[in-house]
Amino acid sequence: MTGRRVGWGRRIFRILLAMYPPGIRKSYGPEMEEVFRRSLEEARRRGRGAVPRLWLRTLRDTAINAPALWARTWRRARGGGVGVGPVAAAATPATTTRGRGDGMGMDTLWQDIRVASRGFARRPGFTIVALLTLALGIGGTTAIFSLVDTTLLDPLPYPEEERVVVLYNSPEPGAAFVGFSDPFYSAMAEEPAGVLSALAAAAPGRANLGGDDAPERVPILRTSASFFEVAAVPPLLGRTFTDREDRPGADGVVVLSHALWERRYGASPDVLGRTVSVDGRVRQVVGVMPPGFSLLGQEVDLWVPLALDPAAMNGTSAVNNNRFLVGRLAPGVDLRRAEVALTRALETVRASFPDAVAGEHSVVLGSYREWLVGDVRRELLLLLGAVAVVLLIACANLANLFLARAEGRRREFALRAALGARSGRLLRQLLTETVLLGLVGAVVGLGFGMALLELVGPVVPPEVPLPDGGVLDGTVLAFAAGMGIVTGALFGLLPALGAMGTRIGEVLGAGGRGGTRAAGGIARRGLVVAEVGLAAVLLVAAGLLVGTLWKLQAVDPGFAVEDRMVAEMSLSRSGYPTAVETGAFFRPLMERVSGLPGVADAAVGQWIPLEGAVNWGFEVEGSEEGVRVADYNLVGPSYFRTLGIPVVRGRAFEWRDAVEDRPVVVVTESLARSLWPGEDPVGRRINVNIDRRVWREVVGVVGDVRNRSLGSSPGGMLYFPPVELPFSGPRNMSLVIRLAEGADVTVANLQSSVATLDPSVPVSSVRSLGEVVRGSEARRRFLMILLGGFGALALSLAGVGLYGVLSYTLSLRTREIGVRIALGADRASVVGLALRESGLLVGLGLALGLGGAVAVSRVLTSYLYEITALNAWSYGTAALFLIVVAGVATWIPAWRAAGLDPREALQAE
Amino acid sequence: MTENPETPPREFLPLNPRAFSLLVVLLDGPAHGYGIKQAVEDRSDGTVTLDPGSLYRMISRLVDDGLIAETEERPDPDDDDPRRRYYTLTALGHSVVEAEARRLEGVLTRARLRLGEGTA
Repeated sequence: MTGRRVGWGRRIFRILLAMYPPGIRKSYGPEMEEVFRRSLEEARRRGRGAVPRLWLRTLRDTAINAPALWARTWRRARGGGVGVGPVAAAATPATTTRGRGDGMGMDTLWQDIRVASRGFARRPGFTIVALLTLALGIGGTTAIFSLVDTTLLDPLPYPEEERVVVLYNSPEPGAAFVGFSDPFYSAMAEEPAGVLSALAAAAPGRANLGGDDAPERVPILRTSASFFEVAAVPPLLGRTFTDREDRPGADGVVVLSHALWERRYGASPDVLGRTVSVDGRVRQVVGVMPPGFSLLGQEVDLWVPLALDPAAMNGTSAVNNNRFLVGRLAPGVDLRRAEVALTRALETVRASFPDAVAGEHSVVLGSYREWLVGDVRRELLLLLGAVAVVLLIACANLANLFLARAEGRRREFALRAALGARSGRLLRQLLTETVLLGLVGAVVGLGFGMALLELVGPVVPPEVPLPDGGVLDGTVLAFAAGMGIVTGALFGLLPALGAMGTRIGEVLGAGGRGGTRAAGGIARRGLVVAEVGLAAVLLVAAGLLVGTLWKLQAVDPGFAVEDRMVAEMSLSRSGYPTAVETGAFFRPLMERVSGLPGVADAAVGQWIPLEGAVNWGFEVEGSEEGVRVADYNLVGPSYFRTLGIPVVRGRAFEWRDAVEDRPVVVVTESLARSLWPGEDPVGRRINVNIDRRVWREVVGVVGDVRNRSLGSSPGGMLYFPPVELPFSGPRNMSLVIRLAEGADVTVANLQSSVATLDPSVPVSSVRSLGEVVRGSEARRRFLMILLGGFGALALSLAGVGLYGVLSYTLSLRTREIGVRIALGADRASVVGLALRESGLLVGLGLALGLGGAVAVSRVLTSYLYEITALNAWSYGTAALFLIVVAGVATWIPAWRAAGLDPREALQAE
Repeated sequence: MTENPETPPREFLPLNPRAFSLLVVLLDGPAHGYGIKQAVEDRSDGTVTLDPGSLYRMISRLVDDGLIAETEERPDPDDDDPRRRYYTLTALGHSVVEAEARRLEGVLTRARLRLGEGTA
């Protein structure tokens, strides 16, 4: 833990080091890092605030010494050189008279930088608040931008990426997309117009890898040989498989991922030609793909031929639309033309299997990137918008800070101008100050951004790849630096420009509190109103998501979650060719696992609810409706009991159901209602094998389960005993365990139970069912946590802004307050004065903000569950939070002002 | 450049107080960056802090001016880290410290005399 935090500190320090001249970095960089590292360790030992103090000191140290060393480097380049003696306090550069050409030189720039950093060092309070404000805004924006950059902007590693397309099957106009059946795939692969230069089918899965080492369970992709043509990425070593190897019987080959090659084979080139065992089948390694290669699926360790059997193309294969297709458009072919040509190719299949293929199937193409990124694009842009709001609030605070400071400097500027400083020179000095602040703010912000990424890393959904080097990527660095310069220059310079226009007479004369201040006051109040409004929008958005997750937490998923554990295991096809052998393995395994200490019940199921669902075509006896579709699962006898799913009618499965000649099925309540409304479903029959009618009898009805997501309504489901279905066997099964209350079970115990039956079967992914449920809501939680965080940040920044403005306004009214107190006003009436002022600002800001939230929250609608975008609770809470923070921000300066000693107050000016 | 040993020590006076503290630390023998930082801070009872930027800005300047130099001489090999660089006083550096100490002594004596007169 400590070591990790030290690692962080050093990374941030490295960003600071980047500000020093290259010569210094080269000669002394590692040593400086070492000195910093040891100081950090020491500060950590000392504890209690020593670490933040060290960081502040280090920031100041960098802000002063980095420019100084740059200046020395430049002077050296010009042939200068001075001794170690104390540098005499330089005459204020702004007032020195110089030749026109000289004024533009590096020397002037250095002087400006030096004066600016000294100015900042003299007002540490102002500098730290300004820097932190800027850094928080830039840090958040940069972190989110780095996610946007890797997810949406980075080019994908395939040549002519835009030609790679994903194919969707639309069974009816307007219906949800499904995959393709094998006959559909073959028809399109042979499509005569040649709109695709390559088309590949793929089926992701997991397999047991053995042969030479300990068995290991790895993610694989079974795919046609054309897959590698679609990707157009050559292998690093060897070759990919050929069309001839993509046939049953000839497919004893495998291509390895770079990661697997390094991990398991020590990156040895001798791996080519070696044989490995994949799910018990011996295959020869023919190639290794380059690092990071992946198309369809984040992580794949093995690619094996799909080897479709042309002889097996029949009615059943024609209704099972479970293949994933990806293609490469032929040069010059657009999506629309390809869709038309491919849809036409589907007709031949519908003609060949008129009984099986119903509906108006048509092909829809989408870009591969779109598929890869999906809805995440919207979520990321939403977050980028939210963090931009935080940045805006930070900028408003910055502008306020500079407004206040500019008024303090009117005297200085007026004097300088009176002494003959050209306004261009003054302007450059100001610009140097704000840009310097902006850049340092960007550097600190990068540190914040890195910390933020680290912090949110665990909740980032898997669809969003985390950037490799954190935020240290060229594009992101440029983005942060650009933002630093623009925000610094814009929000620092504008207020200062106002002050620069002041005439000497106005300042030095009696009218020191003239119209400029009034104008500044209005600008400052306007900024606070904007801050409160923007913060309100973010808080409402965060509140809506919190409400949604709250509702989802209360949703009954239809199965019990508490004290349930799940694990995965997989039997090889060669060791367990039919359901007879798998049954002979699972049945004693269930007895063993149930007998483990702490285990109350155990069962097997092919899928765990919420972890992916696959549907299956079936027909109902005596119905004219044709082929219907429902999610299905293969489950062992104790599955319903173990997961607490109620058996409403009939019975659950028994082991003999898996092998006996009397095929059975269990359906869910909602499916039973829709298939046989008002009738007893038990005893009715359905057929799941279109080619060879085998009627399965309904023996039981069980409660509905939210199978796809907590937020979706439970759809109808079919349960089969662990039997052999066409294309699906009970080999990859999940183990479900109900623990005795408060008990725990060790992975080693599970593994040894499995190993006593078959040591070649690995047990993997042991986790609690609670984790599975939480994982299914990962994206909503990600949005909620980040929006909530940004909302809190916006709230505190708005609070700081309000506090600053009120303290300042009250300090201007010191004399007035003094008179009031001297005339007998009590504390309460003075506090009331401040409350009226802040009440007006906050009220106006809230009205604008809540109105804005009504408009903006519609974007969130699709993320909400049983809560509308106009949920009063969320708006009320947002308003309450703002009012409380505003109250505190008002009360502190007001109470202080009310405690004024009237004598001092009246003498103050 | 000012590395010329002919540069009279007087040219460097008065020394920046931090530079002086740093050179005084090196009178005890070669030291590495962090060691120098610690010694300077300890001896000033914490009134002087040397953060990496100021420390190495000073070290680089002193090296350039020829008052200190990097040395191959390493103290206790048990307590050593090969990544560290050790710095030692040059002859010029030594005479500059001496000259500054003498100058400060003069300043101090005068101040004491004045203070003594004041209280008498």
